[in-house]
Amino acid sequence: MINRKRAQVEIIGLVIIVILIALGMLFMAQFALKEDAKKKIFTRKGLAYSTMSSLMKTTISDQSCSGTYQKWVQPQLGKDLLEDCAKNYDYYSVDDPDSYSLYQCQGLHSCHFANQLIKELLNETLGEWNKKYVFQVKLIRAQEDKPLTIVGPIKVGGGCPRSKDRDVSGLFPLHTDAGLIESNLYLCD
Amino acid sequence: MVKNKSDKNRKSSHGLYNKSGQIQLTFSWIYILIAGAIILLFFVGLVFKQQAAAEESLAFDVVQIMDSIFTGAQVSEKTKNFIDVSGLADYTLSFTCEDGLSEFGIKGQSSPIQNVVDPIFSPQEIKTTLLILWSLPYKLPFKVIDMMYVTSINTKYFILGDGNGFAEEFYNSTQDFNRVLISNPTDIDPEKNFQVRIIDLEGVYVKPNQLVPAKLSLLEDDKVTAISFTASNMVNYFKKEDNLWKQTNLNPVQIISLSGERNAAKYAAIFAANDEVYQCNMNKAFLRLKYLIEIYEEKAKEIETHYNLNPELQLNKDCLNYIQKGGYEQNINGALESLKNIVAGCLFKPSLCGDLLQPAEDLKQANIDLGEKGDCLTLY
Amino acid sequence: MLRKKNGQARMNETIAIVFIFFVLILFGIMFFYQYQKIAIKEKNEELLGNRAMDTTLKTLFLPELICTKGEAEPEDNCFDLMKLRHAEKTFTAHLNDYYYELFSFAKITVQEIYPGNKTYILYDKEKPPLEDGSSGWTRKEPTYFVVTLKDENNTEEKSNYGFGYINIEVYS
Repeated sequence: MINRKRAQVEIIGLVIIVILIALGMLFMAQFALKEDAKKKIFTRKGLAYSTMSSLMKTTISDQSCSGTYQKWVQPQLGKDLLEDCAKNYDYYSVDDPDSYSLYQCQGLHSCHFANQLIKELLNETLGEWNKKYVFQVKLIRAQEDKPLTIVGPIKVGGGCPRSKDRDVSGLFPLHTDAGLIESNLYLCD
Repeated sequence: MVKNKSDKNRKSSHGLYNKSGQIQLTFSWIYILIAGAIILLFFVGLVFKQQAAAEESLAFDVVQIMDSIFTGAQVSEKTKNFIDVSGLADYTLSFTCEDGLSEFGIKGQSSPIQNVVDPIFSPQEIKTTLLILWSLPYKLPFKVIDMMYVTSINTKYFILGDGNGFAEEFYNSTQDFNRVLISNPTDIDPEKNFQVRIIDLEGVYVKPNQLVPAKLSLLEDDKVTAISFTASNMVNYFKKEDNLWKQTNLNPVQIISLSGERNAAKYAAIFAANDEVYQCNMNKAFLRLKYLIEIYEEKAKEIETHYNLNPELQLNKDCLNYIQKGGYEQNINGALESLKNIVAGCLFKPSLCGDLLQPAEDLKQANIDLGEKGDCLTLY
Repeated sequence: MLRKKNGQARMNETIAIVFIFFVLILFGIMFFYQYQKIAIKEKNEELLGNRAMDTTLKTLFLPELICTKGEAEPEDNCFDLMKLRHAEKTFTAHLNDYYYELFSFAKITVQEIYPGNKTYILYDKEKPPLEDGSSGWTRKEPTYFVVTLKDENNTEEKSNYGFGYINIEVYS
């Protein structure tokens, strides 16, 4: 009799402890299930867009850049250089970086120079801030169904696969005689 | 009949036990009641204290979030933001501006946000489920600041008159706002709105000591206000007092802005609660203008130096005459200097602010001429 | 005698129960205190993040810095170098009476990456040190944004766009 009563009391004690632990875990759970800070999301989205927009507008101030009639020119990275890269992509190969293009900076094909410069600029900004990113420029030609990657992909930190939480800069389309150029920057943590 | 001594003892001690039991029971209950009451009071006190703290915390959170929303809405100029605040339907948001300091928060709570930089034009109180935020850039003639307008879906705007086409422009610009074009004050019906603002664009429908439209008498006095345009850039503010219109400003309020569509200062006058709120927030814009002029002066100097050092750039152009004080009548340096001098006076005496318009116009023209006629670098 | 002792025992039992009850309350209060401490710390982090976001937004759209195009819309994510070069002087001259109200305790730096590498410290207001000499701030929340730096001051009189970033650090 006494043992039954003792057992009952012990069971009640155990139940109280379980309830207390459950309540404690509920409190802790709200910290674990907290969503990403708004600042993080805002910064990543905004950063992807602002980086891309700034890259496209950048004016090449390299003294070695030449254009028509070998005159010194200051082309814009997005508008002039990428368009030239798209138009003269068929002449370009990685093994022959100084092949023909209208704009030649440091004696290099516009695709090669653009790739090099963009890599450098992204490394000095996003790379320095330990961001993972993927940058690429694709050319969609009218007569082909598959887009051609003409610059990049420049991947850092393993890139940004679909499975990761990532933000995109937007396509920044450019209509050229060679086709439609789409430039993309994916940013993830 | 007593059988023996032990029986007698038993009976007497039994009586004692009864009394002892009664005392014990009574004492137990009293003890339980007192202890229980103390413990209950302790918890009830704790609950009330927590409730007050939770309300304060809620007010603080709400105001902080709204501050962030306002910042975002302000920089996304020309964009209207509709914010669902149905969770705050029972609370009244209050907006004030005095001596250059704006405060907004939940009425009756102690944690308002203070702002001396950003101009916010709104009614004094808003109680709604949908807040409407809109901002327009104020230019004089370069962009000075973004002016933010805060209103709600249950603040109704009645637009009376034409105002030389402004009625249609305002009506078209404020899509999804609660506004209506009417031709007669008798058409005014507040329906179930929290407050109403009558916009008299002709300056004839709302006059001091005139009777307010009949249906507005049901609303409280501070919920019925009007703005009357005596000229395209002069306004008077009115509020209802015992079913009559009472003018709240002593002197007509001048709208300091260059002509053009989406006149930020004019829209600000319409959304501002009264003349005090309007002047208080416009002062913030003028203060910002003062500091911006310093930067533009330096930029103008740099452009002037650029042309002085590169005279070959001016062979077919006439840039310096559009920049220097001794050049054309409308020139950059002269206009900037006038603006600087006038804005300093305007900050002390608002009645002097009207003088800003001429140099602003000159600067705008000089800048246009610099770009179009001179084909030169422009100031802005 | 036994009954008296029984009453005393019952009384002691009641006192013990009430004592243990208050001990449990105390444990509850301590637990709540710890929870509140963590919650307040999290709240401070959130507020700091919000402040960083607000300061960044305000800076990116400052009329003192943005690239203008006459009467047309200003350019996004673009700073006018001709204004930027002089903005620091204005911000410093009016730091305590105006720009502090806008930025609070923060440091705003614009770093040019291409073509040059100039650094412009536009605003720097650190929290003052405490009475015991220790640092007034415990945390710095940096926010980076890439911007375009427009320079029209060249012989071609053409807008040359450089590449740079803005670093906004808010102090807590």
